[in-house]
Amino acid sequence: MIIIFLIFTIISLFLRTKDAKSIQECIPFYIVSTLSWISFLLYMYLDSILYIFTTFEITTFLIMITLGNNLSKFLQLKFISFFVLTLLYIFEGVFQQDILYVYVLISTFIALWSSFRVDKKIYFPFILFNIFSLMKAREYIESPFSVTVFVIGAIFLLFILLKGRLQSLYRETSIITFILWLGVFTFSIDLYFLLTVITLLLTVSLFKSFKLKELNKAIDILLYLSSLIVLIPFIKVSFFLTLTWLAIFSICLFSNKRLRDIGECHG
Amino acid sequence: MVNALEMYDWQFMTQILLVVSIFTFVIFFKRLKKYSELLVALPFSLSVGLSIFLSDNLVSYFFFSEILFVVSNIIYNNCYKLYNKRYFENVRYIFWIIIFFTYYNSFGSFAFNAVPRNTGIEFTFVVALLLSLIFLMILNFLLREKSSNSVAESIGYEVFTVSIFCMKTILIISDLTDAIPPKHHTIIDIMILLFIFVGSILSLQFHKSSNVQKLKSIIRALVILSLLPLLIIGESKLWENFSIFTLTIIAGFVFLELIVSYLDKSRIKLILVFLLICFISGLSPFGHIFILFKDLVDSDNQVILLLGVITSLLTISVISKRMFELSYDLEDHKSLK
Repeated sequence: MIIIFLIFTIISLFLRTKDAKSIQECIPFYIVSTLSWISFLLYMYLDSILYIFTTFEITTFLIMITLGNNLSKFLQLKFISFFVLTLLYIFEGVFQQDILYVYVLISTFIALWSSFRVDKKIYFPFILFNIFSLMKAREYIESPFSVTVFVIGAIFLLFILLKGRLQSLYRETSIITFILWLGVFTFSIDLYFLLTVITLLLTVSLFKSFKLKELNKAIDILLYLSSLIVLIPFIKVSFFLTLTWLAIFSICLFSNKRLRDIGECHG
Repeated sequence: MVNALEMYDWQFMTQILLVVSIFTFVIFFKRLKKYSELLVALPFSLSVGLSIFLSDNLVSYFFFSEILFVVSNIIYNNCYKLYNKRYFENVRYIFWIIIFFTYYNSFGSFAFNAVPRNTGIEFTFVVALLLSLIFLMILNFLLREKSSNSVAESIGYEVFTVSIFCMKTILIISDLTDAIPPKHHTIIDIMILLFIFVGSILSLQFHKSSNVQKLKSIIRALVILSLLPLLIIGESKLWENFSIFTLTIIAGFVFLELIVSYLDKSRIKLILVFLLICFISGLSPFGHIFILFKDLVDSDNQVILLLGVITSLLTISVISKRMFELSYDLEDHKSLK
C-alpha cells in the first residue's frame, strides 16, 4: 500500500513542478506533502490508538489553519466531532465503535469538501493523507451501524442522479467519492481489490485537483469501475439496490458518452 | 495552588480595591472622568458579585443580588432597559416573595445547607422557582435589543453580575435536588429540558446576525444553559470544587470578551476564539461535560440529560460558526494585500 502512495506522491510532485512558473509557487505544496509523509511514517510506528488520533488531529489542524479556506465551517465541524468523542465516556462499551464511526464520517466530510486558499492543488496531498488515515482507522473501527449509513447514502446518491436527469457522473464527483470511501471503509474487501480501489479513487482525485483537460472525461469510467469493486460485498446486503445502482450508473455513462459524441460532431 | 488562593480573604481584598479606586477617582476627578466605568463600576460589580457567591443564607443572597441588579442600571454609562417589556423587569419580585415563603416553610430558617423539615410541594416550589430565576436572568441576554458597546459594561454586568448569580443559584439547587421526592424530580427535569429548548430556539434566530456583542452574550447564555443538565444527575465530582470551576468559567468569559473586542481579525484570533469556546462549553479535559460524562451513574433520567446536553451544544456550534466567520474575514484579508 505504501508503494501506491509513494508513486502517487511522486506523480503529483512532478505534475505540480511542471505547471509552476517558478519554484517558489510550489513551496506550500511541498510542505503539505512532507507533512503528510511524516504522519504516514508516524502511523506505521505508533501502536496506541490515542497517539494515532493525536497525529491525525495535529496534522489536519496544521494544514487547515495555515492554508485552508472556509475555516469557520471546518472549526464548527471539529467542535461537533470533539463533542461526539466526549460521548465515548457515557457509552463506554456499548456504542463505542458507532461513535468512532460518526467521528470518521465527519472527518471524511471535512476532507472531501475542503478547499485551499493559496494553492488549490494542495487538495491532492491532503486527500492522500486522509485516505491513508482512513485505511489505518479501518483496522480499529468496525460498527454494524455503518452498513445502514452506506445504504442511506447510496439511496440518496441515486436520488440525486435521477434528479439531475442522469446526465453525468462527473458533476457529482465529490458525493460519489464520499460514498465510495465509506464503502471501502465499511466492507471487507480482498487485498488486491482494495489496492485497486484505492488506486482508482486516488486517480480520480488527482485528475480532479490538477484539472487535466484531456483526462477529465475518464473520471466517469474510473468512478464506474471503482463502484463495481465496492458493490461486490454489497450484493450480500441488498441485491436490489446493487442492481439499481449498476443500472443507473450505466445509463449515466451511456447517455453522457452519447451527448459528448453529439457535441464533438457539432464542434 | 488552591491552598494559596484560599489563604487570602478575597472579599476583603476586593472591598479594599473598591475603596482605593473610588478614592483615586474622586481625587483626580477631572482627569479620570472618562474612566468612571473602569474605576468605579467594575470593582463594585466584582466585590458585590463575590459577596453573592460567598453568601450563606437566602436573605443576604437576595440582598446582594438585588443591590447589584438595581445599581448597575445607574452605575454604567449607557443606561439601558434590561428587558424591553416591563413584565420581565418586575416578575422576579413575585418569584422572590414566593421563594421566601416556601423556603421558610420547608426549612424553618433562611440558612443554606440545612436539612429540610418538610419535603412536600413547597420544597419543589423552591427549586422550580430558583430555576426560573436563572432562566429569567438569561432571557435578558437573549431578548435585549440594545446591546452595549463598552467592554467594561459587558464584563461588569454580564459576567460579574448575571453569570455569578446563575452559578450561585445552580450551586444552591444542587444541594437541594437530592432531597426532592422522585415524582417531583421528573417534573423538574422536564422543566430544565423545556428551558434549554426555548433558549436554543430563541438564540438560533441570531445565526446570521453580524453583531459580535450579541453573539457573545448568546454564547454566555448557552453555556449557562448547558450547565443546567448537571442538576438532573445530582451526584458528580463537580460539586466538590465548584468554586474553582466557577472561577475558570468566569475567567474564560472575561478572556473571550477581551480577545473578541481587542484583537484584530487574524488567524490567531480565530484559533484563540475556537479554543476558548471549546474550553467554556466544557469539551476540554477540565470542562463540565467531560467530568459529567466521565462518572455518570446509570439512571432513568439519562435520556433527558443527553437530549439537553446535545441540544445546547449543537446550538453553540451553530452560533460559534458565525463567531468564527466574524473573527476572520477573507474579504478583508484580501483587501489588505
